Amino acid sequence: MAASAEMVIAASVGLGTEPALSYAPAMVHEPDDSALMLRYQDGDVAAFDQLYRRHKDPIYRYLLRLCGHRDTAEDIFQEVWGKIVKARANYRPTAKFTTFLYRVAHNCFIDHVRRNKRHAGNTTLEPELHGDPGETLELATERSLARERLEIALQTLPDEQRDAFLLSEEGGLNMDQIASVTGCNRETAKSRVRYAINKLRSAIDEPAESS
Amino acid sequence: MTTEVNDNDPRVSDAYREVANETTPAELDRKVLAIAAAEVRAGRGMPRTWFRPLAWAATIALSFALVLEISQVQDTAVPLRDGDLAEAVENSPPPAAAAESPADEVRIRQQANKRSSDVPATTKATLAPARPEPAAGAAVNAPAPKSDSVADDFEHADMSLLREAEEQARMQSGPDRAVAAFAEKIEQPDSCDKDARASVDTWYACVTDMRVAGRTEAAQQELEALRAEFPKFREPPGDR
Repeated sequence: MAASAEMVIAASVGLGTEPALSYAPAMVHEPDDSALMLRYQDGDVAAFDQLYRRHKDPIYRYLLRLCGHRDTAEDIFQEVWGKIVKARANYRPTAKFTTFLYRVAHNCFIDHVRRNKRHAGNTTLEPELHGDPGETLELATERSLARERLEIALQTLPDEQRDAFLLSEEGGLNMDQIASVTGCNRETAKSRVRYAINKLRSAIDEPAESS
Repeated sequence: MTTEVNDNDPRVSDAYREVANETTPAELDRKVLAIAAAEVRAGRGMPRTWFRPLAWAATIALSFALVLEISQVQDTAVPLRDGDLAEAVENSPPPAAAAESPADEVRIRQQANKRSSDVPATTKATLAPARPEPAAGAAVNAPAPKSDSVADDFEHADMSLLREAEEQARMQSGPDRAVAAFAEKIEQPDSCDKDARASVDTWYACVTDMRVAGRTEAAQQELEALRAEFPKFREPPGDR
């Protein structure tokens, strides 16, 4: 486990594959989320723009995978950022901004579920086909099927497990943060993520096992 | 997006990354950014970072000033002790002004004259030791001592009157009451008494005092009576 973690870290910063100077620009200091939010609190719209562009796609995918409808996801997405905008007056950097953002998104989704009980079961998401031009038709078909199986497996996960997995994947939250966002304890969050990963792994490996 | 759990099986994370690559529609981005900009333009909920500390500082400063003001008012409202009362009586302007004014000086002297005629010799002797005490201060700024013993007795009588008034004022409260008691003790005669009319000089001195005191009508009547009693009397030119 330690070795794989080191590999991931090394890959993320390019150690061993790139010359030392090539990743120097990545060390340029960028203001963290809380600083941007405080600047927006003081009326700096550009700070909010930067903050929004940093988080908009992950939060959109989180909501899209969570509710399964593009229109609904867009409505909730707009509601989430509207609440963030309104919360600027009383914002205090007591917790990580990402945790705060995903808690708002989670609560908005829960409110939506309570308003519309029929959110589950009617998914309209369709897997998008992204094939490399160079790959063979057989390989492209295989990858497309794998994506489709993963997508279907993701949609068939229980809401709590899918929520925990998406918070981990899209938000990058650790177990404590997932527990804080979803309102459960750390062990529960950990088991939810573990169950979700096991089911998705099974869905990915399904053709190999069957063959 | 690697987590402590996904590190165990990066294939799931990689597979998810291949599937999950949606981005927000541009229209949605414009809406959200427009909402954010409109919120700033509206200026709603603009408590700056310095607003709360400033409000606390102002509240504390105002409270401190209020407490200080109340404590100062309480300090000035503390009642006077007996010694302070006597000091206040001595230093109070009304009696001092009354004694310093010639009219009150005349009044005191005339009252003393009237009383001294009734006081026996033994009583006068008991009054004598009280003279050296300068307790009355400016209020007993009596006329200059005269060489004859009668004049001394008059001044002693003045002193005793004033001390009696002060004692009465101490029994009550406040310097104003002492002044009132002093004023009650002193009557204001409208004519010269028998002793003053005993000789021309004393009678005319009484008339002069009445003039100085502002009782010109009574002084004129006394002057006419003096001229009737002593036809040879001629008023000094400077006093007319």
